Amino acid sequence: MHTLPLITITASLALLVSGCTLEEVKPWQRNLLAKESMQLIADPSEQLLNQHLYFSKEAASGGEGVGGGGCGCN
Amino acid sequence: MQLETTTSHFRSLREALTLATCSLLASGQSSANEWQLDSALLYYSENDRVSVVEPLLMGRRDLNNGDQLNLSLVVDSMTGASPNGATTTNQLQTFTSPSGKSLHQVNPGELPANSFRDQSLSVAGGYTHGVAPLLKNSIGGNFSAESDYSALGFTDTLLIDLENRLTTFTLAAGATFAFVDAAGATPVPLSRVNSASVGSAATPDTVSEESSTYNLFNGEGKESFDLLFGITQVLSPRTLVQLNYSYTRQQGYLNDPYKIISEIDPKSGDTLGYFYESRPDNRNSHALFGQWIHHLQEDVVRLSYRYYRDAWGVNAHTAEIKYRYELGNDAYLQPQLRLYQQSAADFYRHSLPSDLSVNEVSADLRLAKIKSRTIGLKFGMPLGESLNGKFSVRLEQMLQTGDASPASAIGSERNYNLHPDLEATIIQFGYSLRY
Repeated sequence: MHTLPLITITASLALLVSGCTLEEVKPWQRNLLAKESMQLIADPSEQLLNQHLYFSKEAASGGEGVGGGGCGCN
Repeated sequence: MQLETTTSHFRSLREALTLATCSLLASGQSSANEWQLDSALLYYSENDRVSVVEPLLMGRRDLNNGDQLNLSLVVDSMTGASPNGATTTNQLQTFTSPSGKSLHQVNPGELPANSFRDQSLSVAGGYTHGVAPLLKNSIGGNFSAESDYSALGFTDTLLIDLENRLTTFTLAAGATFAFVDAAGATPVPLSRVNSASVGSAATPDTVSEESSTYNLFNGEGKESFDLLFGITQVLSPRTLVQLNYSYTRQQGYLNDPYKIISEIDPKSGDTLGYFYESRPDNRNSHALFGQWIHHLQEDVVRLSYRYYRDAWGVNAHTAEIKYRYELGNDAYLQPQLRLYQQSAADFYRHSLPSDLSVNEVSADLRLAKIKSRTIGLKFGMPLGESLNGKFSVRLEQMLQTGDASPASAIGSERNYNLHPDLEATIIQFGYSLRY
């Protein structure tokens, strides 16, 4: 599967391009950043339920936060 | 032109004043002394295996002094059959349920699985306090319990804004203390499974009930310690990036008490017996997570990637993309795609030839080489009185695949699919309300 590395490279390039255009953002220019859709966690309940789900189906976890109770995970 | 610019500045200033108290990391727009309540119901169903119903309730309250209180409650109800690690074979296999109450028969050519039914409860709480104008501290605690598992966890997170509030550093630490109290008795790793047999006649299959009594903080212990360092950067009025590094140390009883491995004949591949799995008693893992969120003219695109590796030899890549297409009036449609792949743990084997001696081994498919993709669509819209509620629904389909015919398969094992695909449907309904 070569899709993942491709997406990774594309995402990295997007980050780099964005990094090149770093600009001073004044407080009154933050209206879009304050929108719910622009939050780091756009939907907290979806994130929590997904963490539960993938934690019990895959070997990898973490990266987005600390803690979490884990599970018995049959 | 000049007039337009001035008007636009006035509008922006007004918005700025409204937003003055919004910190970069605030995850919602609830105002002081109002509850932001999120409720959700998740339905997860695997083809022929496990199904889960999971209601969730989250509450967040911004207090007058700028502090924030968070609470959450999740209940899980799980039922179905989960692969127990035994390999598919040309013989009839019989397994006693973990509780010892019933027998489970697996026909030749079928993947052995344990039937189970369990409920779990997780509660979590957190309090975020503004220590200084640019410094917030968030403490949290969580508790979760199943009939065979209980855990207590604590977290502390520091959020440090730089003067311009365009850069936020996150420092977080967490500790979780868990107890595994398997139905019946928690098995000794690599001991023989006396409750399973191959080739013998079996009694009809029944669904096993795991222990219905909750013996909290009993059984084999395991601990998990997390450290996280993160940076969030506003790149432009439309773009935000986040980069996290996290380290986790787990130690103690890290086995799954219900997972076994087939002992096979090294020539014919026929199953001879079963052992309980044996994993190392510690695991160090590293994760690097990056996220890029960009606001287009109306829509929002979100890309994330995580690289994970651990001392068990698992290397994993997770990439996710979400595109929020605004339909107007705060309604949206969001296609989303998640791709995942992992390498196998060093000690993963689908079966154990009888002439091989090992100290650590597991046939848990979750430690095998896996590829997975989840594709879905989410729809959201305002709902309720004065439209301060929000309704959402997401529908996703997950497909997890493994190596169905590994090169290490021996004799009769080559006739079977040793890693059947896992297909699952995920449906989540959500409703959020400011109260």
